[in-house]
Amino acid sequence: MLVQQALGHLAHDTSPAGVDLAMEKVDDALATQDQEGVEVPKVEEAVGALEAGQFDQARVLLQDSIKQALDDQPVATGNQTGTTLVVPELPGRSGMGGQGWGFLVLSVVVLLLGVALAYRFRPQDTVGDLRRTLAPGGTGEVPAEGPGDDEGGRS
Amino acid sequence: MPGPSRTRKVVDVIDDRLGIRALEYPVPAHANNLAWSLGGVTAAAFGILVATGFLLVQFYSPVPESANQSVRDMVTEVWGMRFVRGLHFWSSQAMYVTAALHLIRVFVTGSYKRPREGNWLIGVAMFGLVLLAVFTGTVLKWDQEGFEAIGHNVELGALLGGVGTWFSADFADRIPILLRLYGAHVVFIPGVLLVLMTLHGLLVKRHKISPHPALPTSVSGDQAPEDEPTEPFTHHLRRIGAFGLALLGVLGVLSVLWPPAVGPAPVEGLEITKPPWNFWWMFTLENWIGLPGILYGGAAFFLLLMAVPFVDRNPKRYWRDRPVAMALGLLVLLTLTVLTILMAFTTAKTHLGM
Repeated sequence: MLVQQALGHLAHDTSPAGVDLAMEKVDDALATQDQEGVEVPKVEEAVGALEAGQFDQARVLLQDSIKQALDDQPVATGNQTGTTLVVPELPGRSGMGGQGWGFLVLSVVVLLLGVALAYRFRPQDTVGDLRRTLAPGGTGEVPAEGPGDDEGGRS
Repeated sequence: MPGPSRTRKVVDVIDDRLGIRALEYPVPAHANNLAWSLGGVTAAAFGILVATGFLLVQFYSPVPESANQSVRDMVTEVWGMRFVRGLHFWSSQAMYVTAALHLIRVFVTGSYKRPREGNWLIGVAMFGLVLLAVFTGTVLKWDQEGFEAIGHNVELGALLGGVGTWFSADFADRIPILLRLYGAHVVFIPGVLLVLMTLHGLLVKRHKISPHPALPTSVSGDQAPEDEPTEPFTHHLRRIGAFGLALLGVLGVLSVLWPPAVGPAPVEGLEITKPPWNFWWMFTLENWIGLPGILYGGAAFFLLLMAVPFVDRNPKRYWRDRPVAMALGLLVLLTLTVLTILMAFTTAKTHLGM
């Protein structure tokens, strides 16, 4: 668990602050008595890699060091993570290929069509028009001053 | 004299069998402006969510061992699924925002007043379900952010005692809680939302569209005047369809330019992420008073919303004639905004297991 937490910190943040947090977890893992399923020499090697700023290598070593522990892990139940490999974030965008451009053009066409139809189907009268039409013969109370027209209407 | 058009004939044939002309009942002209169509736009966002959700479930694996990887695989290996996932994510944000704007519009125009109090409560319940859908959706990608959300879910469940049993992992300890929340996200929440939406719409029809506060009202004061011009409800639906199309286009552009990322696989015992912005105001409270802050803040907000039509008995609807309601509404909005902004400048803190 401690080694996996170190991997979690590295997956999120490889700035000095993130590496410090990872290093704390690694130190805890080396100091703890329960090291079942953990290859301690690989964890020690990972410390060297972390100190040298070789984060990818440190990640691989840490991941390898807990292989046995993860192989023995039962199927996740309740609120267990079930995580075996701590992979880093997958960014949302990975460049604009033909597919991206295609969807972008399609979306813009749909947007323009929607705006055009909303304009085409706009109300006959704005609220201002209705206010002027209804005020003289109105059956109820008319506020002294109404809000402005909230959108254009057909004249 | 030419006969009826082909479209008209088709409509007649369908109407004979399904009675669709029943939808052509008159609604007051002011109902067709954008502010009065926000509920319909929210429903359009829901429609996009259901359609994209249907595609997502074809490739998603709702078990802890493979959930995160299945999301990665679907967006990197299945044609078009990065766009579909983006559309689902952005539609959820759109539904949250348009539902909130609709709620604000109804509050500002006093449309929750007699006899529409019950429908206001249904609307508040739907807003709660939208928030719950955003929460469960966050969990499903099963990254560190989603897993920490589960941690909050479980501990809040424990704080609630017996009422929170369902949220506890012990409720069904042989089943991953991810699988149970997946069931809630794809069946229970949208199902209940659909039922409430139907009820909401039927009640709008029964009580009729609320009067515009800047226009005269009927003698009873709770309806538009009889001499206000009307349009068939189908025209209202037509305009909502156009707004929905425009929304789909905007969401499509966002999905291409800013598709959502998939965070690192989750690790137990860490608390290093922030929740989605929709929950930031609650998490500022959590930073101040601990985990119960989420519970107390959330409960206070929804109780306040539910109390609105019963506390505000002022029959006037125009905002300038309701200074107390407007001031209180503004205060709540300001509080939520400030709490949200504060979270933007705060680093994640540890609360779970404390």
